[in-house]
Amino acid sequence: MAKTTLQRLLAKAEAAALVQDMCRLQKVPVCVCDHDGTLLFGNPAAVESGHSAPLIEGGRVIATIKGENGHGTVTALLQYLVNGEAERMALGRETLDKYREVCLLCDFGAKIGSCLDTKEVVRIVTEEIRRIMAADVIALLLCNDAGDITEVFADHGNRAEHLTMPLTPAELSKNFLVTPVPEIVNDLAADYRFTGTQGVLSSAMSTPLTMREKTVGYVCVGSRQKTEYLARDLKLLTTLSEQAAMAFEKSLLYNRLKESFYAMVRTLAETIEKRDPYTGDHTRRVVDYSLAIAWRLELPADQHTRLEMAAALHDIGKLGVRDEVLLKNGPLNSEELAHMKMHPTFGEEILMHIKPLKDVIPGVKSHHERCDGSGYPHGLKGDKIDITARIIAVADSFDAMTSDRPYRKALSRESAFSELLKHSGTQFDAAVVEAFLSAPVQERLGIERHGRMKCS
Amino acid sequence: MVKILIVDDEPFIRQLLQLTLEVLEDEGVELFFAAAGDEGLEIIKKEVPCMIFLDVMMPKMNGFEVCRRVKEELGMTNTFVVLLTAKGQEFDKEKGREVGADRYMTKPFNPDEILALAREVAARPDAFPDTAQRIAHEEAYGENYSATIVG
Repeated sequence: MAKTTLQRLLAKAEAAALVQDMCRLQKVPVCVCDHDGTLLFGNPAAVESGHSAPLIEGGRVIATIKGENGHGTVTALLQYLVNGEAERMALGRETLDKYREVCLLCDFGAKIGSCLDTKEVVRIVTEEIRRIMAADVIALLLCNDAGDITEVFADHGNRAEHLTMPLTPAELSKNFLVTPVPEIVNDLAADYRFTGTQGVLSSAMSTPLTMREKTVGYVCVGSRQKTEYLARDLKLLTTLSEQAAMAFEKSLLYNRLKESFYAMVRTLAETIEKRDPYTGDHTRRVVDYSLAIAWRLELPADQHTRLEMAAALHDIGKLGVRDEVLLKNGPLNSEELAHMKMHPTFGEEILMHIKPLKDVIPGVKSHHERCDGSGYPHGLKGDKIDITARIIAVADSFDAMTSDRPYRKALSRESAFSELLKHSGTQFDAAVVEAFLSAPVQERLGIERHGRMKCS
Repeated sequence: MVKILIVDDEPFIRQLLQLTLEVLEDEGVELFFAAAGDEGLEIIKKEVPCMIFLDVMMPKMNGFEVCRRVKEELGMTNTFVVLLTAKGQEFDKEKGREVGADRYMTKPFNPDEILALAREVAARPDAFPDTAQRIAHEEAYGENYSATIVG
């Protein structure tokens, strides 16, 4: 059982000794009994007369002190000590609370600092708020550049909802509290701004998310039952929100960067199509076939983007091939062929200036290598050929075989399949051929599109 | 008596840990405090605490050294040692393992975690110097230790 302040106090040797000394000095024996009669100090037998006085803490009587006439000083001393101890403990509790907050904010900062995904930021913020405050609804509302709310992530405790349609002001004020400055409204029904709309919430807090003086969103914490949100709750909310706003900004910038990068790859791939329309359509099909193979081979997800970009850019080197050779209507002579065979190397030379495309280069450079080492430009063998290149090689050859050329008609799909099989293990990687042949027909025709990164 | 020692050169941290663990005093735990490594070792030799909170960054003798002496020289392998360190010095975890620390916590620490851990360690049978003491303790405070133990 938790001790009372007085018990705790008298258990300390110095305090008890002090009271003893005082009693001796005053020549007044006393005895102290707490509220249920337990003796805490002194000897009742030594106290004859019935003078008694209360000891008070927090407005309540916690003990009774009995003593001879003149025990006033001892009583005063004890009362003073009790007051001091009570104050110390109250301060201690507050300090611990503040320290808890510090610890929480530190952890939160670390978690959110490493976050680049908007949804993840929302999840962490919601989780943290739920941990430290009573709330039925925690909502993060995000704005577009014009400042209109376009996205709402609302957590209702037992379910989460994500709304992306623009809500009317009426719908917004019905479900959430949105204020331009941090605010607590503990009685929404009584607030003149909200009367008239039968709201879902009874009490709520709201704070804007600002980044560089621009409002990027709002956080709303609300209860269906009337609650007393305190100033310190709002302070905590605004502190968390400031960090959340930074995280949102970061994830936004990161995603924009990714988008522009993909747009650039798309543009690059587009250039070769403008030079030679055959290559443009061909590239699209090669990307489809390559992705289909990757799914059958169960290539790790993080390799898919690399493959897709390599497939989209595999013929970019043709930019360096002379028109007479590239757009020639007939078969190529040996000199022209040698020039054409430079295109994987040209591709590498074009792409090597773009650091983020470093991992894409092997697929571009080696898509004409052969497993048995008889390919070009370097005569690489087997596993030494990057997997993306081995996949693109099959996709590329299949599409070449099944397309009409100026000098020969397209082969039927079946004939192309048997050609692939015939050269499986020598020209082509056997596993890749098998994956391609076992992929569902629609995928091979490129009709089925799996989660494209939209760079082709 | 279950004994817990706190060694930290910062008075504020000693205060915080006292405030956090104070409630255990009602449950038969005795708290001791030291402001430096050598002072701490004196108390350790005399009182034989079952749990020690050690600040790592201390002048003259740091927490690693105290821990090493406790575990190796004094042979107190049963004593639960928690090293407290400032954030950003996580690489010290390896050093902590080397000297035999049982737990590593970064400041600011979560007071609730500290209290729960202290309760957990204090509830262990080997927290007491001898069986008689343990039995006496359980008789007096038993109901507290069937309570929640947060991992």
